[in-house]
Amino acid sequence: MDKIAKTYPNDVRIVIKNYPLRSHKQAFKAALYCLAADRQGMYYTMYKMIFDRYKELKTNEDLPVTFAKELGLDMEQFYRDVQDPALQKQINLEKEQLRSTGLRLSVPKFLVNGKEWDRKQSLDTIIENILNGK
Amino acid sequence: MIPPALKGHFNPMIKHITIILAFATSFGFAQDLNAKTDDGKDVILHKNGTWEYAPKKRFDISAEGSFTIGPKDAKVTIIEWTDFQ
Repeated sequence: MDKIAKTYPNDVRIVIKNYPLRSHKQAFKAALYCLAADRQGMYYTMYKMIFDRYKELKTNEDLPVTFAKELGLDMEQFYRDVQDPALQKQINLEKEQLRSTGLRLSVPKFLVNGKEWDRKQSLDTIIENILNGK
Repeated sequence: MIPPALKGHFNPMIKHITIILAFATSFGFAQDLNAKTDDGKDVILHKNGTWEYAPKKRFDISAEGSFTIGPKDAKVTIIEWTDFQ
């Protein structure tokens, strides 16, 4: 996604939604930490930090707190935001949005202009085709 | 020809489709039928006994409240559901 965002800064909008699987116990909390970081403009940085070290969450699910400190976030606000029911509601909404499609519930799952990306073509090819009116 | 997505599901898939087609044609259904493959893909069963994958559906999913990168009026919107795997 980084590459896509850098290649098409004016033509592509990327929307990241959470679908924490029940089998990944730390995933829901990790998603909460990301959304809390988002309130201080650091969603994507937090997202990438968690993504890179996700395996460590199994033994330390609060590792993102360390990341938040490293990023210099306002920790008082961060802790408050993590507890905010609105963020849990947002994650549940995003889960429900995927369920509502009736598509197979596996992640990562992508929609490109509303249609499921089946990986038969690269994202770059699909994007280029749309931009060229094909 | 076996579509690539059906590999591994071919026998039960064809069995399912054959049964549905037999059912549909024996009762003289005038309309095509919609069905799903074992791996979740939509197919259309035609009344003449043939079938094909259904065209992809377009879903209208709101981005409100979700994290986004890029302009709102971009020509292409990619939505990704993720789980930090």
